[in-house]
Order: sequence, then structure tokens, then C-alpha cells
Amino acid sequence: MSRSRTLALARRIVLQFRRDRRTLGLLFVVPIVILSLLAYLIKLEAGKVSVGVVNKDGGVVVGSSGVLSLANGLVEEMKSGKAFSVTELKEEEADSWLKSGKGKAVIIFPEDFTQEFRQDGSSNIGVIMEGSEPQAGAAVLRNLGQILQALVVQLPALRGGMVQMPKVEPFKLEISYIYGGEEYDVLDYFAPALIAIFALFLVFLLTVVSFIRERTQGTIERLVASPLTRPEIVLGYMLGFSVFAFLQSLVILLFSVYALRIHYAGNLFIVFVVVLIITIGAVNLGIFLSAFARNELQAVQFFPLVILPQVFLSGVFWPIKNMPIFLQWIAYLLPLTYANSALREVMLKGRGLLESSVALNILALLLFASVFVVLGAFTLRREIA
Amino acid sequence: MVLIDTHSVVKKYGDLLAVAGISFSVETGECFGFLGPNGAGKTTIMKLMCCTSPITQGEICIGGKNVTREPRSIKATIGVVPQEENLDPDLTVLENLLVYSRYFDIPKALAMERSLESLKLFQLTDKKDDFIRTLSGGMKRRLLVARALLNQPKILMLDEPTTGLDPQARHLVWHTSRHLKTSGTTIILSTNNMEEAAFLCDRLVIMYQGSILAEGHPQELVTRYVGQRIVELRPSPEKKQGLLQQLKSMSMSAEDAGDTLYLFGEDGERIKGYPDLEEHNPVQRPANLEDVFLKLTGRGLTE
Repeated sequence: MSRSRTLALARRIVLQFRRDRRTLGLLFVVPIVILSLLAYLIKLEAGKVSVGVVNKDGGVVVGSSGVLSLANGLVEEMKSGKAFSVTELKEEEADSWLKSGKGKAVIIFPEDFTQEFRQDGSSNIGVIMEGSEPQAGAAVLRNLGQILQALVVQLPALRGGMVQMPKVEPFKLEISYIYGGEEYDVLDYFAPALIAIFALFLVFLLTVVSFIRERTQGTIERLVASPLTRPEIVLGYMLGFSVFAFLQSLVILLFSVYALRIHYAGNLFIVFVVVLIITIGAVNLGIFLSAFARNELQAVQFFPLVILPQVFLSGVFWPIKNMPIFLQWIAYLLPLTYANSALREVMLKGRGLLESSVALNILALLLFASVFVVLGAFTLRREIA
Repeated sequence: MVLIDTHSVVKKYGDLLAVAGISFSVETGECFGFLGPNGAGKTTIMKLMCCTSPITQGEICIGGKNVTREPRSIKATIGVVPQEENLDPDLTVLENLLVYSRYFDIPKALAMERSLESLKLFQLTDKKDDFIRTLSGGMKRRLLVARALLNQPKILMLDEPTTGLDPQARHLVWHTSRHLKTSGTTIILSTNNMEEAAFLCDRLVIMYQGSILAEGHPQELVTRYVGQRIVELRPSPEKKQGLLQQLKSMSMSAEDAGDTLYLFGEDGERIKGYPDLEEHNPVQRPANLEDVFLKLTGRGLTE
């Protein structure tokens, strides 16, 4: 074994990569960008969960000191704590308040809240969950539980002989859901996002790599020498790639619904329309970006740049509303944000095609798709010149 | 009848001047060649004629139609054999031909008929269900020519069609080209092989750095620029300068090509009267297009 021969080979490799500025850049820049992004997001305060409170508790009259209301105490506790941002509501407002997306839950203290407790040592609390975001729902219950627990500990002091000893379960939560329900779990919440992610990225990957091949093998040159017009070429490529994109989204959807048995509320046809628009955008994004890569390796280097920020910033894991403003700006420039939002609206909330929360997202996706179509066609045009 | 007519065609890629304002015309049914080294602009001018690359300045008309204005109808009448093989590697031999036919709107049944016919012509019938990667270089080249002929083109563009082929495959391509020519197809050929140019072309232009240096029938070009015969002298390196001086004093002009000096036309005959030049190993041989190119540019064709 010769040291100099071995080193000669190693040296060639180093030299080769030093020439490939882009690979080097990505090698160092991408992890730093991704890590800082993650560090930012993970440290992100979960933020206060917005809840509504309907306090109808009439309290009980205690001696000369006046009226005691346990609910008042609890509401004060919730307002002063870090977990909730509290909006006081009338009972009839609760439903529309939740549907407008202003909060994750409404907590209702009934008229006889304190009275019941005094008599039975147990009382009911109504909770209406918005339900489209299981983690937020879980956070509401967890934090509410902590506040109630604290109250139970303080009770002997408050009691002054006025209430029974609390039972094993002093507060009973009566939970109802606007969207979804108890059976909705985290998978149901992530399923729409995952469908969007697969549709976007696998199709993008498929297109970008096979398009590089089209370019390097001279297939495009051959097409250009035939009587095919440019729109025919662009449309032909789009259709060809979209067949598989289409089939893929169909398979993902059917598998999620029938094999994984995810819960969904909306119309699957709308889901399919959304997925279709995503894939058309992805195909053309692939055609466009493939123009900036000389070979398959360089194309693969696009993936972390295109995929990771979208997965992190598009509201799949972290709600966009909790992000700092500049990240929110970026989030609203990413197609996955709209895809994710549209699919969640449809699948979790059962919204229809014409409702604004769905229609606006679809419109945004259509806009992305058309921009990518134009860009893709433009790079094909450059190819021809 | 003039089929292709061009006027002061210029093509720039950014700052690079690939074609520097050339004019030529091609008659129906002839084989017209572009001879020149790599980078002379041969492929570029072919691309301009195939309407696959926009012209920077000037004009090309094919069959009375302007390439800038009616590229589609022109493309339909052209068959292209590209310099670099661009067959579909994931398709079989027959599928390659069928798919390509559909780009020209050839009906399915007819496409099948023509594809099988041309596979037979190019001795590829046994290979029709094989994948492209299993073919030899010569077979691929034959398939490229077969593909170019599917739309029964009036003009066949051959861009360095035999580069890298073994002699047998080369002769098959040449043979086919001549056969097509006798059946009325106009052939445009680019090559840096002077043997090929001399064998196939009725008329050719010698290109260098985007310009046309000379135009004519191959043999006529040879006679015009370098005469019938040529003498090569191979002096030993230390005697080369002395020899050049001596030839100059005899008012003979020698072309200096590194280790060899060339004497063209009359000069080649005259040195027979100087037996002292024998020590420089003079060799006399018939002149060819390479010599024309050397004479015109001072460089070899194949560099």
C-alpha cells in the first residue's frame, strides 16, 4: 500500500469538491440554517392557549361575608396564570366564537356550580372543544386540570365548614366537540399535513430527477427538433409526470382512510382536488428547479432547501400564529402552508369547497401552481435557445 | 432548384460568436457538407437550420419558408441525426421509433409499418425488442439514422454521423446516405473527417472559427488550393530552421505543421531537382482536403 498513491486519490476528491462551490455551500450552510430554525422553533413559547369562559355561577351566600363563587376564583386563576388567555363570553356566543377560530375551547361554569359543590362535594364543568387541534385540546385539559387540582388543595382553607369533603372526583368535565371528537387523535391531526407533504415532495423529487435526465440525455433537444410546439412540450411533460403524481395521491389518500382508518369529516373529493393542485405545482417547481442543476446530485441538494423549511414553517408542527413575525412572513410564502391549512380545514373541520377558509387556500395554491407553470415553461424556453 | 438559402447568418451565445455572418445555398437533392475542426460552428449552423436555436442576425429560408417564422412546418420536413446519441434508454428499439413517429403525427399503423421497415433496412430487426443500453455504438448510430428517417424527410441533417464508429458501421451509414441521396433526399452533413466529406459531399464549405473559408466540390477545392500532389518533409528538429531558410531562398513556401513541412502544388514537383533535400525524408502523396484546411488555416483539421 502506497501512502502517496492513497493521498493522491484523497487529494483529487478534496480538489473536486472545492471546485463544486454549491455542494460545499450546502454542506455547511444547510445544517446551520436548519439547526437555527429548529432551535428557534423548539424554544418557541407554546404561547397561551386562547379559551373562552362562560361563568354563570351564582355562588352561595356564606354568613356575613357575602357570596362565595368557586367559579370566580377559578376564572381569576386562569386569567393570572401563564397557560391561558381568557375571553369572557355569553353562553350563546360560544359556538360562533370557536368556529371563527378565535380559541381552542370554551369552559362553561353552570349556575349551580358552587351550590352543587357545597351539597355533593362534586360539580360539573362544561368544556366545548374546538377539536381540530388535538394537542391544543390536550393542553387545555392539562392546564385546567392543574388549576382545579390547586383549588382542591386550598379547599380546606376556603371551606370554613361550608362544603362537604370533596369526593374522589370533585370536578366532572363534560366535554363536547365542535369538530372531530374524542376519537380524533394526533394521527388524524397530522394526516392532512402528511398527505400534503407527500404530494408536494415526492412528486417534486420525481420530476426534478427525471427532468435532469431528460436534459442530460438530450431528449429535450430531440423534442425541440420535432414539430412539437413549446406549449405542447410543456403540457406533455406536465401530463406525463402528473399521471404518477395523481396515482400517488390517490393511493396515499385511500391508504390513510381505509387502512390507517384516520378520521376525517370533510368530502374526500375536495381533498383530492387540493392534492391535485399541489401536485401540478410540484411538477412545475421540479421542472423549474431542474434547470439550475447540472446533474442528479445537484438536484438532490435542492431537497433540504426546498423541503425542510416548509415542513418546519408551514404550521405542520408549530402553529404559525406562535412564530415570530419574520418567520410568519416566510411561512406565508410557502405553498405547503396553504396546502396544509386547506386540507386540515376540509378533513378536520369538514369545511366545503366554497367556504372562504378553504377557497382562499385553494386560490393561493392555484396561484403557486400557475407561477411554477410559467417558470417551468420559461426554463424550457431557455433550453430551446 | 435552391432548397436552402441563407444570408449573412450570425449566431451569438452571449459574447461568444459561434457563426460569424455566413451565406450559402443548398440545391435540392445534393449532399452539402460543413467541414471543420471542433468548435468551428458546424453544429451551431445545423441547429439554426433545424429551427432549434434562434438566429441572432441574418436569414435562413428552407423550401421558401423562413426558419424564424415557420419553424413547425420546416421541422416536419427535416430528419435530424444529432452528434450525441439521444435515444430513450428506458424504451426498446422499436418503442423508440414508435414514440418518435407520434411526435410527427404519423398514424399508429403507418408508424409501425415504417418502423419495422427501417429496422430491416438498418439490420436491426433482431434487436427490435432489446433495450438501448444493450446496443453497440454502431447500432445506436444506425437507430438514430433510422429514427431520423421516420417522417420521410426532404432534408436529412447528419451532425458528425460517424464520429466514434468502427469502419464497418461507418460504411453502413455512408452507404445509406448515398442511397437516400439517389432517392432524392437532400443531405446536410457536418464532419471533421475529410475522408467522409470527400466521399459523400457534392459540395462543401470549409468552416473555421464561425466563418466559411472556402466553398466548392471536394476535388475541385483540392486542386484549387493545393494542387494534385503534395510533398511532406520531415527534417530532424535541429535542421528545421535551416531547411525553412533554404526553401525560402528557393522561393518555395512551405507550410510548417510542427514536425512536418508541407510543399503544395508546383513546389512539390520542383524539389525533385534538389537531391540534397533527400536527407529530410521527402514523401510524395495525393493531396486531400486536410491539406486544403492546413493551407487555409495553418492548422490541422482534427485538433
